[in-house]
Amino acid sequence: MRFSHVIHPNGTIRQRRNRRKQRWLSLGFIIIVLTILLIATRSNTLNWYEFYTFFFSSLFSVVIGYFIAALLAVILALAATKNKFIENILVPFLDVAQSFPTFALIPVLLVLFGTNRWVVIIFLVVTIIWPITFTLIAAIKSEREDLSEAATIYGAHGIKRLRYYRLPDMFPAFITGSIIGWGEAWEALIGAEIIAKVTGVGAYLGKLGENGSVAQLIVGITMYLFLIFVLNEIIWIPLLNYSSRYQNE
Amino acid sequence: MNSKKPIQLLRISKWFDEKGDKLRVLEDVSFTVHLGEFVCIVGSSGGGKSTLLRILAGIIEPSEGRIINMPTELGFVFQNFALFPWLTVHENIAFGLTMAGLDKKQIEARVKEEVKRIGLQGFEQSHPKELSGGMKQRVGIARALAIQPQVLLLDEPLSALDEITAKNLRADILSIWQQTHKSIVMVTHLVEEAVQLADTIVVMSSRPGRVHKIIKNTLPRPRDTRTKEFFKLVDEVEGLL
Repeated sequence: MRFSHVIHPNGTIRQRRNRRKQRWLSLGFIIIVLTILLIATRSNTLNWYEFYTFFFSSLFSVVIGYFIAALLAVILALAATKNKFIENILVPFLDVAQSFPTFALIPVLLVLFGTNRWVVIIFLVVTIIWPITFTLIAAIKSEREDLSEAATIYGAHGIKRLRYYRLPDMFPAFITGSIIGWGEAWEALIGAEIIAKVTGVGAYLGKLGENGSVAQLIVGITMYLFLIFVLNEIIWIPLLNYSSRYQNE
Repeated sequence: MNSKKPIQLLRISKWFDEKGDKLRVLEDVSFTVHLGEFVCIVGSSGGGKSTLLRILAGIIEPSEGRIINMPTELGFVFQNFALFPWLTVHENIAFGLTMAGLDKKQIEARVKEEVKRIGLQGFEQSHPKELSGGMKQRVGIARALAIQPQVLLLDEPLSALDEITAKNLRADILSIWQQTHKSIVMVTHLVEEAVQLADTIVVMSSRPGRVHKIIKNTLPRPRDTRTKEFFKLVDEVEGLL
């Protein structure tokens, strides 16, 4: 019995080296970031305690909003691609729904919930959900037919199909959609908090603007962007790199 | 499903509705696959051979006709490997076993056996991206064998490979067939390949796919691809296409 091997050890070694290099770069980056944060915090340009408290309460809103949006997006995408009939009804509806100006929702939410953090969270859900939903729908519709057939032939049906085939296959699209949705959420957050009069970094920066504290506002916005950048580096970039193993060749 | 009776395809036809017209892909296809037989379906591209294999696999319903005695445990090897990129070699091979709900020990034992058979020891934790084409197809074959199928369906398993790798894998497929005595139905567009491997060659015409002729290959095994008799049979099959 002859079995020939085509061995690619160099490929594997190069990948390991690149991964180690990435880890060192990430660690170096985190140290630099922490140093900058420490130096900035020691300056008296801003009330840093207030700034960080408000930033983390906004982060809380974004995280909760993201998780709710992500779950709903997965459900919507799976429903919309279940069969042709549902797709023909649901996708046009979703297309119209995503065009709805989300800021117009805030007054309605204020009437329903009052001045409440949930107003911002629901607003963020509506902002984040669309990029994730449509990237997932595109991914499901462009799935590799032979992978789908292999999953069927080898017994992936029902919940097993969802867990062992559909969700892993959707994962790269899920991360891409999440990155877009997350970015849109931070962009919209400031306006949402100001309009809804809810405490958070957006409201805090808004107040600085109203008071004419230009220097503090510039520093505050810079730190705001910097912290979002840091979050992207430690959460989304590693996830994006990890998701490459899920991608079809 | 009874695995001891021959698999019979009875007047299988398939058409697809395209903008009000019927696109006929297969018409009135009938043949038999006996237990332990190696059957090659040969024909030019677009002849419905892959569609026929998918009807056998149960993932496409025929528009007319039926299949009798088709086992439910079947393995399928794809032209472009169809390995799940997020799974390792081990996990890909174990996929069918995991779906069947086997316990971890049984899965480990079966996967180990198949990894040894295909000669990929040491690559169990590799992902498909890290493998060559030949290695990927070996994993595809191992995945099919791991579930201990009663019949193996191979859809042009060597067409995506270079000639040297294809030659080696062809020999391995033959070796696996001789070891396991499984019924194999293989689609190929290479006549020499069909003559080298098959006991029965189903020659199909295309558009729509019809059985043109069924040829019993009586060349003795192991088959020498350089004999007069081999070339004579190749010419006979090619003359029908």
